[in-house]
Amino acid sequence: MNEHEQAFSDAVLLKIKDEHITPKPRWEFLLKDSAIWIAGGASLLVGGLAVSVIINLLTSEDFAIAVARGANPLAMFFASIPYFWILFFVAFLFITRYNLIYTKRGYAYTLPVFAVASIAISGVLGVIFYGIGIGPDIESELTERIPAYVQIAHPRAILWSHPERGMIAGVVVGVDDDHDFILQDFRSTMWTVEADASNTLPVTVPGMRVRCLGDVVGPNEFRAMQILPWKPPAPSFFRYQIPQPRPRPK
Amino acid sequence: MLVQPEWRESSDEELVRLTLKYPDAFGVIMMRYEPKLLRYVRTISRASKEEAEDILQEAFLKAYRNLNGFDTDQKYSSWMYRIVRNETISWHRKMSARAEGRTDIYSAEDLSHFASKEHIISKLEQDQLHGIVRNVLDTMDKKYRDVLILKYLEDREYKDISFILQKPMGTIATLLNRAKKQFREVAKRCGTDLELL
Repeated sequence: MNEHEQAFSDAVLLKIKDEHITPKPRWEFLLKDSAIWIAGGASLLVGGLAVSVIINLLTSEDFAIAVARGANPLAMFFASIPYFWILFFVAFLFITRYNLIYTKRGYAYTLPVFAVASIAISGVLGVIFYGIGIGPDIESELTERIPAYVQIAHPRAILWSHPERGMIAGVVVGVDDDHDFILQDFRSTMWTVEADASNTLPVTVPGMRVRCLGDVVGPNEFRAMQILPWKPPAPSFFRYQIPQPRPRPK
Repeated sequence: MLVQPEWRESSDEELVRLTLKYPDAFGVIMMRYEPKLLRYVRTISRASKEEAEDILQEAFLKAYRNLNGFDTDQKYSSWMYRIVRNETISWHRKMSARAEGRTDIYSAEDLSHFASKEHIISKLEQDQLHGIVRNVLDTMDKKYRDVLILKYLEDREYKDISFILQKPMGTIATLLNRAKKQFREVAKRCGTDLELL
């Protein structure tokens, strides 16, 4: 060791003592690492939800109904993609990837390896979520509670906002008599819906979300040939029970 | 507590543990790495000797603050190289300086090591070779020069380079291959046939 090295080392040690610099506690590093891994887990969960929503949309009857009613299948396919969820998922992926670089081993994985692994895990989670009905449940909850979600980010809402195609959906805001009711659609338009007695959903109550298939018969008047619950039926392979609508009070 | 003579024989990892109890033990680590790291800072930057010392001081202070975050599965030296490299990059950003490297601070001994038969195939005499190696390194792209400097001048292993540059091992292997190719091409443009092994 020469004098220069000694002087350099002494100067740094002096600064450490003078400025009372101390090593950061170990828990700070553990907390930071844990936060990064939790964020990573959250991004996979979001990815799983996005996949379950995509599966739900593509396997639901909505797609087939829209095509049967004259919609362009390709346009419908693109309209059915939940861009909001995908963007959310990709944003989480990038945030997690950025933070992972600062974990002990994170730098060892390339972005493609990381992205493929994340998408694969999200895919598996998505199938599980779809199977147990979590995807449709969350989608319905968001539809109920966040109006902006429906207007901006909900492909099903867009799919069911085509009165010219005989497809409207929204919330029942009032019931006229045994069959007819007032429906507020996703664009806040009020429709008087004449319901056929033979439609598949015999009970409609205020606050309920429904899809109506039929024809426009006048200004803001719609004759429904079929009324379906907004929440799609869950896949049967997990025997999930759809909550039944409450009966109309007498 | 003053530096204990037996600390000088301790491994880096032992010194890190000791430093958490006795801050003076950090002095031994600094004395051990100061010359190498100072040279490294100057090689990857345009910093003057004084500026390089300031950068190194900041890097050591940062290392000291983050001692509890040091991953004992890695070599301490690699961790220090990583911190020093990041600190040098930050200094460049602050100074808005060009991150051009300079190889003129490497001694003839360092360049002999680089230009040894173990690393280079060439028919040139050693003295002539040193000058050309210097020129070639100065002309190369920074990303390739960085990896060559760590491999051939700092003698780091692939795993260490991967850790220092925070890139996967596969990426380091690719970078090294491309760096060797560029080294050969630049040398050819300088009128010499050089091949890195």
